[in-house]
Formats: sequence, structure tokens, C-alpha cells
Amino acid sequence: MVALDFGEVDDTLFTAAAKGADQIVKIPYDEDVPPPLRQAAAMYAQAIKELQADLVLIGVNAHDELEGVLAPLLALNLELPYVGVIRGVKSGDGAATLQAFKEFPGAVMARMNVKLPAVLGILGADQPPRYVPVSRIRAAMKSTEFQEQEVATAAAEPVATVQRMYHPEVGERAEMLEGSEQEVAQRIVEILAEKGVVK
Amino acid sequence: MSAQDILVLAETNQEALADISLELLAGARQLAGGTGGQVVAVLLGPDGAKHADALSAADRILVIDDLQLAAFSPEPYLAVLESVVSSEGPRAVLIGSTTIGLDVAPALGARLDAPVLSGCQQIVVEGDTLKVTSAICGGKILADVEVKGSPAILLVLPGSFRPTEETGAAQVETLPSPVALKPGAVTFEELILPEAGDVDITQQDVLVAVGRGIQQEGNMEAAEELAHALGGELAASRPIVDQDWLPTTRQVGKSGMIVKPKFYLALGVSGAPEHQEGMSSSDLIIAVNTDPAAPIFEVAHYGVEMDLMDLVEPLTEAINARKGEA
Repeated sequence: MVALDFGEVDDTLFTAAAKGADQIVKIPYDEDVPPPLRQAAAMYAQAIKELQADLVLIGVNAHDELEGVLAPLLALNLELPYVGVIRGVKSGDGAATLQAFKEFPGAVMARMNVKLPAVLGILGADQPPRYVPVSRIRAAMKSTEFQEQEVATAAAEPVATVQRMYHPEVGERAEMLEGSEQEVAQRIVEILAEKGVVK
Repeated sequence: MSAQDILVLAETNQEALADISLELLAGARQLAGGTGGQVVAVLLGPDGAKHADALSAADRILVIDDLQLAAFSPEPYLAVLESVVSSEGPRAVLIGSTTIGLDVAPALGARLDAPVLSGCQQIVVEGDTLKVTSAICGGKILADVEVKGSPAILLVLPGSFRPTEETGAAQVETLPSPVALKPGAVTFEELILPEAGDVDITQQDVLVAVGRGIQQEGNMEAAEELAHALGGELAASRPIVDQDWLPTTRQVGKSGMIVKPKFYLALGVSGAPEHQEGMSSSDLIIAVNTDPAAPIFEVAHYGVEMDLMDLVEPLTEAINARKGEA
């Protein structure tokens, strides 16, 4: 597992250790704000190249990505093929291939054949997430040593200027129903009756 | 083609034109009104010309006819788009924030050394600047962003623009691929359709959708009782399907089903843009959530700030009582 040393990443890495990660590499990073996406991709690529991995799995659809998506940028930096929005992976016909299942609308999946080495952008697992007991995470915190991998990359400028960040207006359209549970339930039934949903 | 044009990637889904294509064209028409340029739609794949009529909001429709583009695989799409965008030199490229767009837009931007923005909901032109409002953190945060680089690659959230009746010159140009295409390291093999047999939630008049707020699998039964009392069925947002508490055929949203029931009751669903995309056209939406800032309240007609489990039982009883009176 490879991660940039930013924020509360140690918690994630100790959880990974508790789940059985064999090697954990942390990329030192001392700034107060995360790097622009293209810089982050270059940093990860430098660290991952050292590992000579056949398959790189990275998440997609991160909630804080504003300047694109990290996963395909990482693949570009590694000069490896890429496919993303993947919900499942199986071994392929040969040792150097795998089958990746790419999600499309309408609960449809596309089966893609992927020649390795490659980068896959993972949207979610095809099985529920497996949690580990806190005791095992605590044990991992005592026994795990992170490997540090210094990388040298030129700082990239953000591709756009953020002028303002804010919460959207709340309840712009919704009329809020107030009262006790029974009062709200009764009001909902009245609304459904008015709309003809219940008789 | 001029540096003021707006280029749109039109997508198909199982041989039908995807809704996002028409939404992007509507956004492009608005933008082109500001830049004074044309709207150019790009459709990749053989037989693309059959969709030209539906793309009449464009001034030009470029159909890139190559068998390697018959189904989506990233490298051929990217190679063609890189070539087309380079030669057309537009002010902006609108790409849907879809399973295809998420693969190609970031890499396209990097290859062209062009700025890329995700989660775009509103885009306006002011002089040489594009002003974009993007949704991040599942729609809970909006960012107003200025982009000066050109072409700007904009990943547009579905539902951000309503398809327009406005038309352009709609001149169709069917062209061979501008670059030689061959299968890449990632190739499409087959589409796997959902198993038949489960309820078709797209055909239901009433849906009770549960989200992460349901908290435990054991609470699903109470929600299902409520759905049945209403004469409807259970649906869900992604976290519930990820937990295997309901099959993927019950998932509402971008990668699930697009539903338009008469009544959509959202229980503990935060309402991320990906979920709203699948249900915002419902006739009547009531949302129940403990978080008053939940984005679901933006699309709901009525909202209740409450723990859903406190409401499910009284609501089921009230509905059953009403039915008993009728």
C-alpha cells in the first residue's frame, strides 16, 4: 500500500496493516494543503515505479477531487494502460491478463480484458467491505513500521482558481414537516392522500 | 472551428443516445451564446450518424466512424478525442461525469496540458474566463472556480442542464478516425445485463428508498413493510447495495436505475448528485434525514429532519389505518 503522508493517513495505513498489507510505503509531504492532482499523480507514480507492481489499484470518485480524477493521471505518469469505474476483478485467461468489470448505468457491467501491468480505478468492491476489530488495529499500530519513500517532483500549479467554497442553500425546495413522529406521519398520509398516492 | 467553440462528447448507452448528451448540448448552447462560437458534438463509433437528428442542438456533428470505437475502451477513445480536440481547438470541452467521462476526461486534459474540472454544475463565460460551480463532497460543498486555460475540459454532472429545444445548423460530418486505431491493452469483451427476476423498480409507482441512515440490515424489514403498506417496493442508494443488503437491480442513481415514480420516499439517503440523477424527476419526493444540510432536501418537495427509524413505524401504522378507513 502506498499513501501520501497527509492528514490522518496513518489511521488508514494501520487499518491496512491490520487487514494484512505486507508492505506499506509512505511518501513524505510536509505542506498544509494537499498537492494539486497532477502533482499528486507524479508523486505517487515515482513511489510506485520503485515497487514494479504488475497491478495498481486506486480508488475513483473521491469526494474531494475538483481538478479531475487521480487514477487515470497516475496511469499516465506510470505509462500504463488504465480503465476505471471498476466493481470487480477476476483472473484472466493467462497469467498476464485479468478481467475487470466496469460499471455502466442500469446495473449493467462491461467485462473488460486487461493486459498487465495496468492501473485499475476501483469504484467499489463486489463484496461488502470487511472490517477489522479495533484490537487488531491497535496491535498493528504497535508492530507496523512504515517504509518512507522520498520523491522529487516539481510543484504543479492548480489548474483553476477557487474563488469560494460554501454549503448549498438548505431546503431550497423542500417544505420541512415539523412535529412529533405521529404528527409528521399523519401529515405525510394527508399529503399522499391529496396527491392520490393513497386512497 | 474557432477558439470560441464548445465541443461536446456525445455518448451512447447500449446503442441509444444517452440523456447526458442532450444535457451537455444544452449547456454548450448556453456557453456558445457567451463565447460567440459554435457547438460541435463528437460522436464516436460506427453508425453514429443515426443519432444525428437527436443532436440537432449542435451546429456541427462529427461522427468518427471506426469499428474500434464500437464499444468503449479507454485508449482508442482517448486517442481520437486528443486528435479531434487538438485540431478543433475549442474554448471548452464538455464531457459527462459518467463511467466513460471519468476515464477519458482527466487523461485528455493531461495529454493536452489543459485544465480539467470535476463535478461541474453551472458554467458561464465572462471575457476570457470560464466561471464554473462544481459540487464536491457528495454535493455538500459547492466551489466557485475560475478557469483561464483553454481548452477547459469540464466533467459535467448529469442533471445540470435541461435538454434544449434550441437547434443549431446540425451539419453532420462522418469522418474516419484521425488516428490509426488498434486494440489497446484494455479491450471490451461483453456487456453483462442484470439478472431478470427481481422487481423492476423503474415500473413502480411508489418507491421507498433506503440509504446509509438505515444503519443496520435488521432495519430493512421495517422499511420493506412500509413500502408494501404504500403498495410499493424497496429501492436503495449505493451504500446499501455495496453492503449486499439489496441487489444492484434496486439501486437508484447514476450507475443504477433512473426512476420516475409517483411517490419517492427517501429514508436516510443523503442525496449525493449521483443519487439525485436517478430520482429527481419523481412526481412527489419526501425525504427523511437527520442532517438538515443533506443535499436530498434540495430535490425533495417535503422534508423531515428526523431519525428514519423513529418515523417508519408510526408512518406504516398511519398508512394502514388510512387504508382501513377507506
